[in-house]
Amino acid sequence: MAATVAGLEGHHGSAHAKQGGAWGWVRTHILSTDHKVIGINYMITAFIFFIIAGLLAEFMRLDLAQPGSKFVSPDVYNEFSTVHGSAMIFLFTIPMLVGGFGNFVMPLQIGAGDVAFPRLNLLSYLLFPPAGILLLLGFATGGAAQAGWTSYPPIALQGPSGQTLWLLAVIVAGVSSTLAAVNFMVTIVNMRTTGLTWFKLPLFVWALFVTSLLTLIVTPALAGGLSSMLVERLIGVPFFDWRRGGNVLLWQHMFWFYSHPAVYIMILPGMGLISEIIPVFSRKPIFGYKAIAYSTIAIGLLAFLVWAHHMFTSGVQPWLEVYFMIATMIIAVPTGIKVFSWVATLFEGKLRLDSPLLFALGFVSVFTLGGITGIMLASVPVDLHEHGTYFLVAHLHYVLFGGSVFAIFAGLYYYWPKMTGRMLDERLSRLHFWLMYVSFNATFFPMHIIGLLGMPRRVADYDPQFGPWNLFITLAAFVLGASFLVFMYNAAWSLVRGERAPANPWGARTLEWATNSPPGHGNFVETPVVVHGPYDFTKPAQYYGPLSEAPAGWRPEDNSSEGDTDERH
Amino acid sequence: MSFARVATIMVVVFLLSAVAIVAWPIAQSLPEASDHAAAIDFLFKFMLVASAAVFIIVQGFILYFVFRYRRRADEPADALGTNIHGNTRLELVWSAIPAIFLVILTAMSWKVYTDIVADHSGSYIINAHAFQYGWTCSHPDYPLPKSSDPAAPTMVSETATCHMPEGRYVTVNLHSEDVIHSFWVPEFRVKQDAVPGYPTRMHFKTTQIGHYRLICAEFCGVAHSEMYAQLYICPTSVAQARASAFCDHKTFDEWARDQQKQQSGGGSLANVSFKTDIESLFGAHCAACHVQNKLGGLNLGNYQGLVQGGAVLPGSVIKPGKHAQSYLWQIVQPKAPWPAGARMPLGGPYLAPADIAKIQAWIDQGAKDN
Repeated sequence: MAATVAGLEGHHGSAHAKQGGAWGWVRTHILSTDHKVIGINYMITAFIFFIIAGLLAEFMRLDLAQPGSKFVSPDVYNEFSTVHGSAMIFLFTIPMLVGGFGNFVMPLQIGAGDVAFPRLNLLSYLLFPPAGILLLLGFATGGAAQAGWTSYPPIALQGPSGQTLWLLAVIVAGVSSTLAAVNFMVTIVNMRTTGLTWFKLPLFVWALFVTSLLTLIVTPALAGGLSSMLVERLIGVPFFDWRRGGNVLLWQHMFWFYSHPAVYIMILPGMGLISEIIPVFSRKPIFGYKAIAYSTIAIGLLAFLVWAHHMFTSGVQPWLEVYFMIATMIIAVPTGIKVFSWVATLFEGKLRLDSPLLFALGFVSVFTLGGITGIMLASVPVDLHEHGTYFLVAHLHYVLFGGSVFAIFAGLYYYWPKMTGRMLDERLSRLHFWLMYVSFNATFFPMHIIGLLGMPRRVADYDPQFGPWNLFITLAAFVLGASFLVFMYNAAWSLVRGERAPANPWGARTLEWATNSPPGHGNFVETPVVVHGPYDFTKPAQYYGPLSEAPAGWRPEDNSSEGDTDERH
Repeated sequence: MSFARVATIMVVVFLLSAVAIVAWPIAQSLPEASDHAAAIDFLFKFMLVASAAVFIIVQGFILYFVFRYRRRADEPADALGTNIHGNTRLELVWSAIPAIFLVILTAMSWKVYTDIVADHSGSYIINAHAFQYGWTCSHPDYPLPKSSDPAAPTMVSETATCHMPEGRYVTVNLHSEDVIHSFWVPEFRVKQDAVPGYPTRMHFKTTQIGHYRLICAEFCGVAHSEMYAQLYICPTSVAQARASAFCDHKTFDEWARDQQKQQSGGGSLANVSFKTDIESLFGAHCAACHVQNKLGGLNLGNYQGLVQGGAVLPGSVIKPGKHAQSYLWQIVQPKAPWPAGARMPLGGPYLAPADIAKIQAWIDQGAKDN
């Protein structure tokens, strides 16, 4: 196999490499339609927004370190909290997982040369930086959005012009992710390689498929809400102004019909990465492949049916609240199946405790707590106390930081050799993990307690009784921020000095590891053939070469597998 | 370590945490001042015990498996684990047990929630008006005489404070005209949003005399974190009232009748005192904006603040002896023109004629810091 792989070209392929000069650089690195370049560009851009939004969080913690402290004025604090939340969700987590990992990993995993519509893919990336600039532009034009990332009217109708920029930013980001969703669904349905049936798909591809389906169905509801608010702000059409016949709660329904599924858009691809990493580093098949695949579908379907659990205190009819409580509780079952299956995968493994596995286990560890508090918040009576408090801030960060961000870093450490062709320093990677794991819990766990004791969220100042807790949280948050410096140093060191990465440094069995690190233009010289499942470590790595030369027993038709086995290319 | 030993340790840790959770006196950290509080705390503890089980199982097995099945240094790098693809029976068990637990939890939550939304006949009504940034509580049971000023309050009302009788079912009718706010007293364990154009209400029984904070729990703008009121649950029995300092040794009814008398102008205007008459009036109607936040730069928290005036209307808000030329008097009048364009308290409810007469008398008597 080594001989076949060696036949591939370098990073971006010869087609673009011949162009010199600045324009040539832009053509190959920014305007490339190669899914790998687009994926990495998504990641770099998203990481820049991660740093900005993270710094905003550190400034907020500085302001909250002591009661009465006024590091910034309350309106600036509200701008920071709004932009922090919006940027982390719309400009980091979603683009990183879907645009970044989805683009880089998925076509490789299904043995395709690229996505179905490479130019559309480039367009969806090119829409992403402008969305970020629109969101941040408010700081320069006399006040960014201040109404929180949920942007409830009427408060969002009162805000400065930055509020209009916020609406435009989220609309542009929404168009971008809708385009990517169409592209990914078409790619997954039509471009799986020979023998890659649905139940031989890597679980990350399953996750991305359900994520794309969710994006496609719910983003229009958000776009409707955003456009309504935009015309209300710009020309005064009263969708939400109750004095002129509008309805204040209408927005909340439109917003959460998107934004609850958005939580799964942010967590399902992360769960997909975890499902890739745990079996590879345990050196055994994933426990309950079909159960995990079906639970992904179940979570995707239930995601549409639970949105008003964010509105238990809004004045929704009691019978409706009971329905939303029941529907929300049901989601805990498929989520539990995933968590238990990951833990069971470790049983009788030969665990290689490298950094990707550490981050993956860190994910399972902290995400479980986020899931538990999610059940607490699903119980209407308990939610009536916890809603709108720091308990909720703790919960959402256990899910979106403990969940999505840990998964993102598990994925970054796992795919770094494939993306860059270099290895990271393993000691620094482990240092990053332990710093992040400990300081993450130190930052967010105490928030449960102060929330239960009565500290509301989104406050620039608070009752002095919470002073000592908040000082501790702020100090922990600074350590948490510093832990990412270790990663950045490690990444920079690796790009310059890192050891060259082999094609398959972790001994994985999925297709992305069957080609070069980094893969050349077109990914595979010959169409790869898939015969066995993605986590079958007793079998050798996937056969990769001309079908005519495939050894006996390796042809798809020799393999009595379920699902369709027609040749796809 | 054998599997049996690890399982034993986890069971012991679980039992210890369960005992600790059940024995944990939540009410000592945060009093239970409504009838819902104890029910919600019980539900919370029930979930905490179940959560402890899940938490210990997941974290415990991760730790145990990592320790037990880590690849040893002497094992080859490509050593494989056991080729297990799943176990249908185990997967059914770990799907069914959480499902059964969730059915029980949902049923329990439903029961508590049914009590929370139950409307009890004969409950004491409070109309809570939320505004950027404060609360006004009005008491329909204590009406005021009709006045020529159509905007004058028709019932006893208070801003910056909110009084409730102890041991009564209370219904709070919530109302907002600007943005969404949320009525939350942590000691009650329940909250309800006040939604513009959409009346909402909440029901509870007050169970513990005391002084609490009524907080806004829904982000409502720049001074959201400063939006609160002092909430008092006052005794209903005379003996308890005399023994309790929370409501100035008065029963709730005595407190409300005093307010009724003051707000209908029952007192004498012969010798108006800043300390006893004017400051309490500011405290009840103006403090949410002009003491806690000093909006417009104006601080009505002390006499010097009045003399210094604010940023919007520079100079003292009082001209001793001349009520008609004092901003303070002009701005609370029923009729325009008001200095700075709007009648205070902004958005209402406005001052009763008796209160306005009191301010007028105090200014005409020299506006002294007496």
